[in-house]
Amino acid sequence: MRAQTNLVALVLALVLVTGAAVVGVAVADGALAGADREPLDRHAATAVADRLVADGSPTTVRANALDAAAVAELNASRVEALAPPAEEAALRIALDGEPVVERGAASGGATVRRSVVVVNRTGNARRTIDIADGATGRVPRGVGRAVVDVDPGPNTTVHTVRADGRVVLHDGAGLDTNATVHLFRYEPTTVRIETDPNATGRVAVTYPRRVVETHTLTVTVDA
Amino acid sequence: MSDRSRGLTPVVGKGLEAVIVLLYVASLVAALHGGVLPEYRTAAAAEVGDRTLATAADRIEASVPSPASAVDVTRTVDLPDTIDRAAYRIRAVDGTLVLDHPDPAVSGRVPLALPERVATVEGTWESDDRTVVRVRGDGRRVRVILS
Amino acid sequence: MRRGQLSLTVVEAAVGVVLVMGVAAGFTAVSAGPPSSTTQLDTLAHDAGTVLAAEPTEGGHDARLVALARSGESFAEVRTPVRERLAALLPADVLFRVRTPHGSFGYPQPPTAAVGSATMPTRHGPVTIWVWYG
Repeated sequence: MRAQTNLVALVLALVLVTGAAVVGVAVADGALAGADREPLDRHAATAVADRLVADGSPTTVRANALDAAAVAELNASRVEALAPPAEEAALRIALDGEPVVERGAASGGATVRRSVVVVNRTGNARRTIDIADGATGRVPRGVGRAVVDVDPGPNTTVHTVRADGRVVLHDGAGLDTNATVHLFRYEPTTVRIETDPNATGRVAVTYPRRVVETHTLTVTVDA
Repeated sequence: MSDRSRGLTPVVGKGLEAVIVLLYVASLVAALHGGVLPEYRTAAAAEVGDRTLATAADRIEASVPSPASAVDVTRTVDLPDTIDRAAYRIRAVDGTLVLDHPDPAVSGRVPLALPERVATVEGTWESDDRTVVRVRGDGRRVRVILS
Repeated sequence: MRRGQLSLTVVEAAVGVVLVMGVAAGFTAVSAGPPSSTTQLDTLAHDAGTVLAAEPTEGGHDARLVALARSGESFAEVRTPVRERLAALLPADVLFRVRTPHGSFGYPQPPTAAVGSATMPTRHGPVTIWVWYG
């Protein structure tokens, strides 16, 4: 009689152990699915962020400095052309939370953040210098290139235009030209004209006015 | 029942229990091995394959330096020798990185994101060999070679 | 004879169940760990260094990064503007610390958090930026 009771207990025990094994397999299944951190998503997000922010990219002025005009024109197909891993994937690119490019629902994908500045070349500022020997005008800091337009009056020869002592335009026979010169970006520049006494006319220095703002670029990709 | 028979009953009972338990364990192990284990192995191998591909692509993309006049970079990349006990191969095809593995679930491809300057990506990596990425070129045209 | 004791086999089974559960729970706990995101932090630190290297100081001759490393005087001059600039550049949940040949500034670095770093070389010495989530 006791042997039979024991057998019943044994069967019960085996059933319990089977149940535990089934639960264990289910947990393992769940753990395996949860461990899938989608490395390809992360690669796509990193690649898109790198291409958007790199020096030499069509969207940047220099490394980590986005061009505001290029950013305004950004759409999903341009992003795909820049970074092929983004093809046929849900995208979300945002600057400080404001979406710039959005395609599909990218909430389940990998996210990458970069620190960038956005450079806004909102048009040109123009400084006019009346021509006289030694006349100067000042270009503010942050300008690397300017267009110098020399417009001498009659009987006037402008020999040289200097930027901070460095000669940028020179013509012994007289300048009457519209040329692009390079300036030192890290300092305000003094533009100085050398000409004959009793000179007339105007020199116009035109340079892009830049507004620089910092933002955090967020790229989310769900392939 | 005689005394001797009464003494034998618990032994027979325990023996029966032991045999049943052994049979049960054996069948459970066989069921797991046959049904569940190969699936898990393939799933884990597919994950490792994905991760290896993503790591390789990341390293290749990171090895292209910023614009400069002359480029000559050689970088060694660490990849696992085998996935699921089989050697594999990574090929550069048409701007895409392809992982060739005997198990089709582990193979995969990922497009590479490289700057405009990179004219070509070529070469093949054998997983059990030394894997090196070379970037060569001048300011305008850059080649990436896997060897 | 009913002695009211639990059958031994059931006890053995219960022990087996607890064992299996324990192993399964162990797997769950270990595999649910969060990924270490120091690559992301390293990239943020490098981004901050790149931007500092390209921006000029308020009234000066140098990029901000170079001014930090050039001399004790220039470091003292630019440390506060650079600190504010870094706070504006990095996301709100990221803290930083900067070390230059002439001193350090920033938030105190916690000993256990995951930390990303970037070292930017300059003509006057290296400048290191550490970032972490805080």
